[in-house]
Amino acid sequence: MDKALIDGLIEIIGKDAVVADETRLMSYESDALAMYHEKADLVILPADTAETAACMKLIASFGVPIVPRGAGTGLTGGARPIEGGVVVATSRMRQVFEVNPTDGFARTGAGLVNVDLTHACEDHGLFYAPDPSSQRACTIGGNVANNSGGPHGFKYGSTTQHILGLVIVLPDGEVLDLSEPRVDPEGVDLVGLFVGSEGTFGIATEVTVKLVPTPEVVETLLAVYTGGEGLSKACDTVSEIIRVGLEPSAIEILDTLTIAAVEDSVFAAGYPRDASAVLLMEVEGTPTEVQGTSGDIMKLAKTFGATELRSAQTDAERAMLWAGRKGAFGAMGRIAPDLYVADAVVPRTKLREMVRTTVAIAEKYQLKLATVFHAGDGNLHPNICYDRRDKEETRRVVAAGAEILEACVAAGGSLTGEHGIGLEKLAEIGLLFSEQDLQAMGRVRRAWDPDLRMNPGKALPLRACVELGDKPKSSVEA
Amino acid sequence: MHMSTPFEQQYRGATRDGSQDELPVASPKTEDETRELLRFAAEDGLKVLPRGCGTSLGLEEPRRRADFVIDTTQLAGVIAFEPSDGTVTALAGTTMASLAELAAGSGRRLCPDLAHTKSTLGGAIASGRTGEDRLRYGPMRDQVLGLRAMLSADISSKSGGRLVKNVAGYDLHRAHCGGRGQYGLIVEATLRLHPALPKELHLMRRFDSLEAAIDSGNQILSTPCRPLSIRVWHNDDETSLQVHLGGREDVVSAEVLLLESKLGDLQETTSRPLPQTQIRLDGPISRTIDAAHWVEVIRKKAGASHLIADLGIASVCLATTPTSHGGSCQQASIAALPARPKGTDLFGATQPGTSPSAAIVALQSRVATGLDPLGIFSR
Ligand SMILES: Cc1cc2nc3c(=O)[nH]c(=O)nc-3n(C[C@H](O)[C@H](O)[C@H](O)COP(=O)(O)OP(=O)(O)OC[C@H]3O[C@@H](n4cnc5c(N)ncnc54)[C@H](O)[C@@H]3O)c2cc1C
Ligand SMILES: Cc1cc2nc3c(=O)[nH]c(=O)nc-3n(C[C@H](O)[C@H](O)[C@H](O)COP(=O)(O)OP(=O)(O)OC[C@H]3O[C@@H](n4cnc5c(N)ncnc54)[C@H](O)[C@@H]3O)c2cc1C
Repeated sequence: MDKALIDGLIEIIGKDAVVADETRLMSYESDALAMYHEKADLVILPADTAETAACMKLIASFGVPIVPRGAGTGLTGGARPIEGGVVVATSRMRQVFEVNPTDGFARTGAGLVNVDLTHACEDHGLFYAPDPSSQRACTIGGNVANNSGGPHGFKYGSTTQHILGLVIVLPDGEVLDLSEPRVDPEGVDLVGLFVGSEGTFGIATEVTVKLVPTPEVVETLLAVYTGGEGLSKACDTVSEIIRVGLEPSAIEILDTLTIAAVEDSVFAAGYPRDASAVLLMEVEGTPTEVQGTSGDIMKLAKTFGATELRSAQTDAERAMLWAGRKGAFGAMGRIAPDLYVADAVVPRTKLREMVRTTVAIAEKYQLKLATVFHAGDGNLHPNICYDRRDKEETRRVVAAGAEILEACVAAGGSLTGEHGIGLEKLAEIGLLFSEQDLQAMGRVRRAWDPDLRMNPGKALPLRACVELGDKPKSSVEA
Repeated sequence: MHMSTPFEQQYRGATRDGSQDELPVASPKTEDETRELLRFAAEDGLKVLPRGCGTSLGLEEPRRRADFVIDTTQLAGVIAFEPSDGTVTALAGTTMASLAELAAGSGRRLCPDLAHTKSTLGGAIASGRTGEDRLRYGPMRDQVLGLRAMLSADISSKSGGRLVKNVAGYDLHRAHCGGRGQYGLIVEATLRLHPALPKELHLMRRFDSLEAAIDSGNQILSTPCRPLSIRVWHNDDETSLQVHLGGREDVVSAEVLLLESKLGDLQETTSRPLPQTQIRLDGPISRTIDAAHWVEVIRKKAGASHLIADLGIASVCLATTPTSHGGSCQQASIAALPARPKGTDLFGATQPGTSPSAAIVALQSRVATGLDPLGIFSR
């Protein structure tokens, strides 16, 4: 890395906010997809929009690639460099600038941790709805970049439905102030386009989010399924809940291996160890609404073979049931040192069939599969537990992951419901989009970042971003 | 394909020299015919104005310069209907009303619930407007799961998909939502379907003043009730508050009791159609619409017959009279605002004093060129 660039950055943000030390750089070389890692040349930690803009301007003059980074909990390799460059981390942008309870919005720094936003507004009877299971660590900026979801996305939708405004620093250091919350965007919806752009358009430094009222009553339900067909029965219950139009706020499934891992861990939730699957659901609203919907769901689960039905009786019990779900990925560390979290979506009518297919694929590749997923949205997470030091097993993991994705797409599904394409799924994106589709996306990417310096090699196979008239190519850059 | 003139009475386009004129209309029946029209436009350097049923185009200000219109109403039909998964995919010319009916037949609800029965799927998305049910279900863009657009004869673009959750690829459909056909011709789109509401109820109460009606409406916003809309109707003779409730029967009954405990007796009524001609003011996100005062000033100055305020979504609709239609009413409204809230937006037109920064405009223009690289669409 050019010393003049490093010196210039130190001048702007100070020595403490520039990480060049080899040991410190190591903690930025991968995200939560530990399979891939690459050391950054430099990491910088600007404190606000002005510092970010000044740094970006300087970096632009050196023509160096930029990788935005929140907390690094992403699961597709999005927040790590592939060919050196400067990582711009938002961890010092944790401010809550404004909570407006009347109009139901808040303005925060992009580096604010998701759960801290909810803490900041709970006294007003409001909360921030998107709740990725990583919410104790991941940042609002990372959520915006990945259009993240979460268990309660079934009722509240993904991040994009909750973002009202942004302040964005473009790759050349230009600042776009789109922070004013608006009913409808004026002209091209830049905020809407930015959400889900995986760090390839610019860096969000401030985020204006919608807040929603804390529900009057919340009931957490657990339906337990046993026996060989338990997981299928749980899937069928979910498909039926959706078919008949019941509206809980969350519908999650955990399979037997996940239950065992959770129960052996600090996240132990009291899920029955002999269950082949549990269905964890939440119902929110007025007392009448919750009572009616919960009653209907319980009846339906029973009809579909649930052997035990529970409703959390206390806040502590409710928190425990959710801690098990939200800690499930972490608990899987007990099964094997590494975890490959697949993220695919299928139509909600095909849950049973696709869960079976993923089990069969894992068996074929002799891999350990632990499934825990946002069933209500058809968002599967077949997680493969493995050891990345075993090269041969790692090769099988990659092959099985690709086959799972292909099967889901063939069933009318998608490559990703919430984690994004990142680096991991570039090779598969052609399963969903034609060259023309990718070229249109590529032209929009160039509109934001003409030099393609923002997070190169992520989200879109860049060489497909050919100029109009060029022969389309489908090669992947990475 | 047929090229037909004259143009519909209700709206006229502006020709390229800026004068108002009737425009030729082409009504392709297939995508191939549409492609040919776009080829013709590119070859001859003509600007295309996509049109659905024209129910919103007639209200657009300023009129855009174009050379001909592509009417999409014959590009209609359902491609995939998955009530159990909660999605419907259809061609752009399909009417929203027919999709709503299809959904209702299988226990689903299509949003937004648009007042105009002839509006098309493509037109509803491209005009990005609001249904009466926005307070509960959100804006049109929250309903669009994916779409396919033709950008020229040889270029198309698809984004999103036919799934309720999906983050693969950039969300280009967000640019087409509310894009008023400036960045491509929407050919097909997938919308999310919601569970049907077993019970719906419209309640009404009259008030002596606009302020009192708005205050009461705002009180409802702070209760646990989740109405589909809270609407204030106001003219010289009458001010009333209309609340549209929906959901499980027991839930609606409980909500009625709660509302009556706060607002006194409420009268059951029927859904009230919006006036035929109107302009809409979508303010910034103020739930309170504390602007009762200026809104009334506007109504008088603009010569509007009615004012309809949707509380909670900061949307105000002014019903225009034959003598105060469109542009003049809009101009008068802007002039009348004493302290205009920042960002007030009349049918998508940017207002002086609230212009976005040069950097934003430049980026919007680059994105527009990226989406419509041959510059075929009228902007
Ligand atoms: C245990 C665990 C559970 C998880 N559960 C969920 C879940 O339920 N739902 C879900 O959706 N995801 C989940 N994830 C994935 C991950 O937490 C989310 O993708 C999260 O939004 C990433 O946030 P982050 O701050 O860690 O971003 P990072 O991982 O640092 O970055 C993610 C991407 O965003 C870009 N980026 C980050 N900040 C910015 C910014 N300010 N401006 C522009 N680009 C930026 C990066 O370049 C990268 O491409 C989980 C991950 C783990 C490890
Ligand atoms: C009495 C009345 C009541 C109304 N009530 C409501 C209401 O409650 N809520 C509301 O939001 N609106 C309302 N409107 C406005 C209008 O009806 C809606 O916005 C409607 O959805 C427009 O549909 P359309 O097919 O008529 O579109 P058009 O008027 O034909 O077109 C609207 C815009 O979309 C573009 N467009 C059309 N089709 C395409 C396509 N396939 N691809 C790309 N661009 C396209 C056009 O260029 C134009 O900019 C009302 C209008 C009237 C007259």
